[in-house]
Amino acid sequence: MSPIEDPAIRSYFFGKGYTDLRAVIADVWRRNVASARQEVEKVKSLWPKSYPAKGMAILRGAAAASVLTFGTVFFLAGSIIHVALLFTFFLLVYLGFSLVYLTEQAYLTIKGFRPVCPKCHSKNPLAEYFCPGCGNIHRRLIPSSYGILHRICRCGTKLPATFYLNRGALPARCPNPDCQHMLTGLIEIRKIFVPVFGGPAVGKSAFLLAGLREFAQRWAPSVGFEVAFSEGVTAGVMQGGWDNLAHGLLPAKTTADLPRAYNIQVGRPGQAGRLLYLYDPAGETFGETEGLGLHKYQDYLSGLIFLIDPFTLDSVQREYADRLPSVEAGLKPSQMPTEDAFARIMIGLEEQFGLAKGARLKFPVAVVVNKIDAFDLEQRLGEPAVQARLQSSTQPVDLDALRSQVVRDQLVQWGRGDLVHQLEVRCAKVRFFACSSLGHIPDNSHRAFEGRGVLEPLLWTLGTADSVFATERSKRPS
Amino acid sequence: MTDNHNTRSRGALSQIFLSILSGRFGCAGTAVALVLFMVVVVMIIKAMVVIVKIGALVGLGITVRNYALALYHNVKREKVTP
Repeated sequence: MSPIEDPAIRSYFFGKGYTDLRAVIADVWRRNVASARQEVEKVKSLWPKSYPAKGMAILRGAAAASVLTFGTVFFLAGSIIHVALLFTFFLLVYLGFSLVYLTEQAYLTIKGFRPVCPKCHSKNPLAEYFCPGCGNIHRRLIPSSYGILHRICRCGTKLPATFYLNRGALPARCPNPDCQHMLTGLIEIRKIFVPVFGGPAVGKSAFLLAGLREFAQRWAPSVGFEVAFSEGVTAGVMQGGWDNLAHGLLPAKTTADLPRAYNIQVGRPGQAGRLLYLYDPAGETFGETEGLGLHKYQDYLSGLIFLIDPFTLDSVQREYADRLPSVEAGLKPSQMPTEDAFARIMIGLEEQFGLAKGARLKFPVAVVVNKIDAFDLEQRLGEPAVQARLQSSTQPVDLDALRSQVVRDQLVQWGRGDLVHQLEVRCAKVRFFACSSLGHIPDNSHRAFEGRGVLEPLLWTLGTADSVFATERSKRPS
Repeated sequence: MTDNHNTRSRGALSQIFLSILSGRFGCAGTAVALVLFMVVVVMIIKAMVVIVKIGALVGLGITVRNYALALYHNVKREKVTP
């Protein structure tokens, strides 16, 4: 039985049945005694009369004796049958809801359908659901003594008590008492958690905005997926960010210590699909490992996108030293060494999220070199470099692997062999990408920012984390 | 009046029995009368047994009715307050 009292009607066999049983036993006994007394009174009044009256008196006397004897036997037998029926149904209901609850819990755990708060990042076994009829909170809306598949709220509204009956579509809130954030959309579907990590000013916000625009407006429709923002806040932030990029305005600097997840529901029409949780933490977070402990979503990551600003690398700075000062204000090279950012991510995962020392990350890690629109970086890291490599190759090659190889080799050439080695040693699934989140160096022209190469890292990460996206990844938008 | 009537009734049966035993019907007549008297007594007893059985059935019916009424009045769904 649930220790938490919910505002619902408990199953008859778990509460009221026993109150009723007591009342029935008392009432039957009272009625039998009254009936016997009534018959005895009749006997007293009939006996002194005529012979037929005497016969009736004998009959009523027999009835009185019968009420007392049969009544007692019948009352005992009836009570035993009543108790047996109550216990039988009690056991059946108990078995029923235990079975449904256990199968549901196993299914939710295996499939990763647990509700996750996009605000406080707590992953919970269950959300707190609101009754759509009266707004009362049901803290344990599970198969229980309140009902196996459904329960009746005290207001009379019938609520689904299990995931199988689309409980996740009910309005709900985060069960964390310090948060209680309203959870919107379908909260009991498969989720994918992908943060964009990297030092300050590597272009995380721009990458996420540009990548999601490509994802939502071009890729998803081309493969028949529907994209919906579960929260109005996410929709507002995304639309505002996209409008700014279209007008050549940079995304606002991320300042929040703890990022709120961008919730995006993706799926085919009429299907539950997937719920994406994308995180854009402030780059300053990676200045110390302690702060990363607050980012609880690292406990259940599905993938990770690690952004590198090439102008953080001293070799690149030296290479473009003559031209860099003229565009430095627009480029805003990140001040945090890439190795430091990556090391702090790994230390944070080891110290606070249970990653064993030296163990590999099992989820996919996309390493993305950003800002390749500057100077001739696109020639060296982008499609021209890939095509040149392809033409010089005599063997048939996997184009995606070749793209990764080009970026990897360039990082090594820039003297970041140690970083590449670290990435390949610590990450079981790693791939290198190159992109330009904005498409051109920011200036005062207010030309629209159009990201290039931003979709591929996102799709690869999602596709490696979830086969649904892997199947559809090959269908690139034209 | 009723007491007199009862006294008379009880007396009537005793008087019939005593009359039979008095020998006024002769030996054979007394025997026949005794047999007839016994038949009547047995029939009265049988009738009483039938009456008692009917009474017992009535009592059983009352008991069943009492149980059904107790169930009807006490076993009810919990009310909701919309």
